[in-house]
Amino acid sequence: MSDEEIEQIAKFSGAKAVRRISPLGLFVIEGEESAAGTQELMDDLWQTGTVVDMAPNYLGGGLTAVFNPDDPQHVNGNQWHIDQPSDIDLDLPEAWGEITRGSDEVVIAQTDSGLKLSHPEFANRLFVNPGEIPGNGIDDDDNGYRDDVSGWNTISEPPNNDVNDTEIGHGTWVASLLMANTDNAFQVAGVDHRAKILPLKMGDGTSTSAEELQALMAALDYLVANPDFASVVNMSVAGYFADPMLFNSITAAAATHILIGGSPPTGLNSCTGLPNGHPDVITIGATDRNDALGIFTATGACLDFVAPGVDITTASFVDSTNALAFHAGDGTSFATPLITGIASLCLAIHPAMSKDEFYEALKAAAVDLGAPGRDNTFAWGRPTAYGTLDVIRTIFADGFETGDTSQWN
Amino acid sequence: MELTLVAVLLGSVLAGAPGGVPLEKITDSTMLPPGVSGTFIIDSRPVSCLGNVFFNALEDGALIGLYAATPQGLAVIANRTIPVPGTMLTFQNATRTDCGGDRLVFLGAGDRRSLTPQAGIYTFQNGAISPPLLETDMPLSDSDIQSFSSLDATELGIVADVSLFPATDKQVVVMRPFGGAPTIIADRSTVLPGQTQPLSILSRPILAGSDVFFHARTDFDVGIYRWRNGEGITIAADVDTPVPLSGQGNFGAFGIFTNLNGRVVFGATFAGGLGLFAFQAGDLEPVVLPGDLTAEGATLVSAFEPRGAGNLLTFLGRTQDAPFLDAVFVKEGDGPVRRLLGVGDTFEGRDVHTVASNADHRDVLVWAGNLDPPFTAIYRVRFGAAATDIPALSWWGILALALGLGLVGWQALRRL
Repeated sequence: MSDEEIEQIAKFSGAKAVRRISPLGLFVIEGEESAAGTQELMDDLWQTGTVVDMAPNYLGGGLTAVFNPDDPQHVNGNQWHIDQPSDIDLDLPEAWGEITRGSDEVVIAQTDSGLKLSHPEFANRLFVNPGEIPGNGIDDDDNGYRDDVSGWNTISEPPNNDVNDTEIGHGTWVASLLMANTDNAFQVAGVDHRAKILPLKMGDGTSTSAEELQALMAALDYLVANPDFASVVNMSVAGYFADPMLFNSITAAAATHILIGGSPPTGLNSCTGLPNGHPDVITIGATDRNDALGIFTATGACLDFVAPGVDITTASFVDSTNALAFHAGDGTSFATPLITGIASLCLAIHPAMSKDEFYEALKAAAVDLGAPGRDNTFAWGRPTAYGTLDVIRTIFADGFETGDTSQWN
Repeated sequence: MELTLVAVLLGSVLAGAPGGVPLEKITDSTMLPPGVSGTFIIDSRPVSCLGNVFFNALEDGALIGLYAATPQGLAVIANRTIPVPGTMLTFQNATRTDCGGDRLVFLGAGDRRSLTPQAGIYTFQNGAISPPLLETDMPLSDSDIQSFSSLDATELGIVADVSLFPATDKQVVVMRPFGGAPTIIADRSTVLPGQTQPLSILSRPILAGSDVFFHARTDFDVGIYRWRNGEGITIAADVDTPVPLSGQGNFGAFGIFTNLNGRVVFGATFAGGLGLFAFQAGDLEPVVLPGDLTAEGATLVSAFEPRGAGNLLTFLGRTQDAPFLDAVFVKEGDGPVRRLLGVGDTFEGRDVHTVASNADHRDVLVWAGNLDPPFTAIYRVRFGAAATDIPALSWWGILALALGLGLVGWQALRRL
């Protein structure tokens, strides 16, 4: 059925506007701005026999519950990406209040500099390999990795299980955006409040580009060897050499995981280097609190979405109440975990979510920035957490089938 | 073990970088050492040592080897074809290369598999690799060495960040003088006088004279610490230390540091941004700051990742006209900051996507890469040499010029 025929049917049922948001046949249909009007439109559409599934989208209608945690950096407004008066944000309080704050059944892998394990924002949130007995020097679960209880360090020689963050804190900052303990009146709020994290340490502050490339490859190989440990992978790294073996490691990891990575720095194209240039990686650029592109973001054909990444407040390495109680920075490194966090929230309500479903939901929920539709500056735009979750719960979580979407990247 | 020399001699090209400073090509990733084929990505920290340039490179199979660029050509120092002393293994990895005066020091692994790992810190001297200074399973304190992270070497010895087993969370800084026994400088249970928190994380140790500087954190502190024999550990600078500039508050985070003849230069964040500072004889001083002007008239907005030796400091920085593009800068003594090469430049017909640098007492090595397709190269900038001191390798550049092969080389030679 053509778009014109769909539009004709929808308008016949009283729709005001129709917009296709994916090749799957996913449409946003705008109706009357009332619950009764929306229900009437849905009833009429259903009777046409052309609709597989549909759900109301109450965004902007003020009908959602909200959850506003008490973490000081959220309360004082520094974490603008969560919520701000202009609504140029992720609509996270609405997502948390109405849909989910996450699930401890979901595990996020993070390829980074490790994380500060003793940090209160990560207490009780580390993934624990159930098949491994800590510290006995034996590969109890016979997975090829000795004592890999809570992650794996691929930058040390030889690799080991010490994933403490010895970098200047990059992994700690990124992880705090992803999944910091939230509503604990301390430092920051994370996107996902319950998911576990599997740190894969691939940089140590003195490592070189080739060492990190090798370590990233080994980290991805760890995920391939242990496909059930994590569902989604945050890679706040970009611009490694386009080595064929790294490319193959990414391909293999993408077969069993949703991979989300950052766009490289400006001066490069978003397709230059890896993992950002790999078609199986969802590549994220950064925007500021006014929806302007972060000038450090590489643009181009491999950019998939943008997310807040300018003046982003994260947890600090230092836990005291001094001036370092939080860190504020810019980078696609900080935009990436926001989208990864949305993915883990989605996995909480749809554990079997595929990368293609997630991608479709992000597109459906994206605020279109720049030229209409996809463009090489903002790609598909800035998704919101609430909108993405709403699409997942109403469309995909109950069995809507997707087709081949490999060409969409 | 003798150096295996490649038959093809290196042709040195002297080319004018965008900043006007002559860069002498040492090697690039199209030049393959003997026995190497396929992937060859030169790593970003070349080292001048023993009169040659040594570098690591990623080979096929994602293994990193160690090579030398000599006047006679490229040579293999340690890769999968080279035996690990005292074992039946060959080197599966060789990384973290540094110069220890009259010897090269590197971290080598004979077996990287997690169930039977073997790695050690090796030296290369007089054409041969010696048994390891430290290696996995070597007893240390009441544990065994499990793995290694960062490594620094000087003419006195080495210092490394080491993990022990059992007690897998036990991480220590170990110093081993050449010919001496290893000493544990600090571990995660170390509590300094007047503090209640142990040093929970240690990293980036370097040797400066006989002192060891390292980066450490407690739950309430981040700083650079100094160990001195007989005096123990003291805080060199931490988040409670005022920046040596009026009205700029305290230091924030600390980056890597380097030793310039006892003057320890480090990168740090402060209210004014990201700059370079130094300890010298107990004093703290600014070295390169945001707002400084370069010799080319650009304004620096940040300076980080210092490297160097003697009087020669090289670092990465960014300028106001390109605030997100890294470039290599150099500062000789109290002289001006000069830009050598940066991301966004086009050099030898290729876009520069990534840069890094290192330095010894008289040369700066500039590493540049194009990410896709991978192309990497090492260049040298001579300092401390007479203007007419054309390096030996350059005669090959002149030969190439004479053969009509190097117009770019001609432009550079005219500047000489």
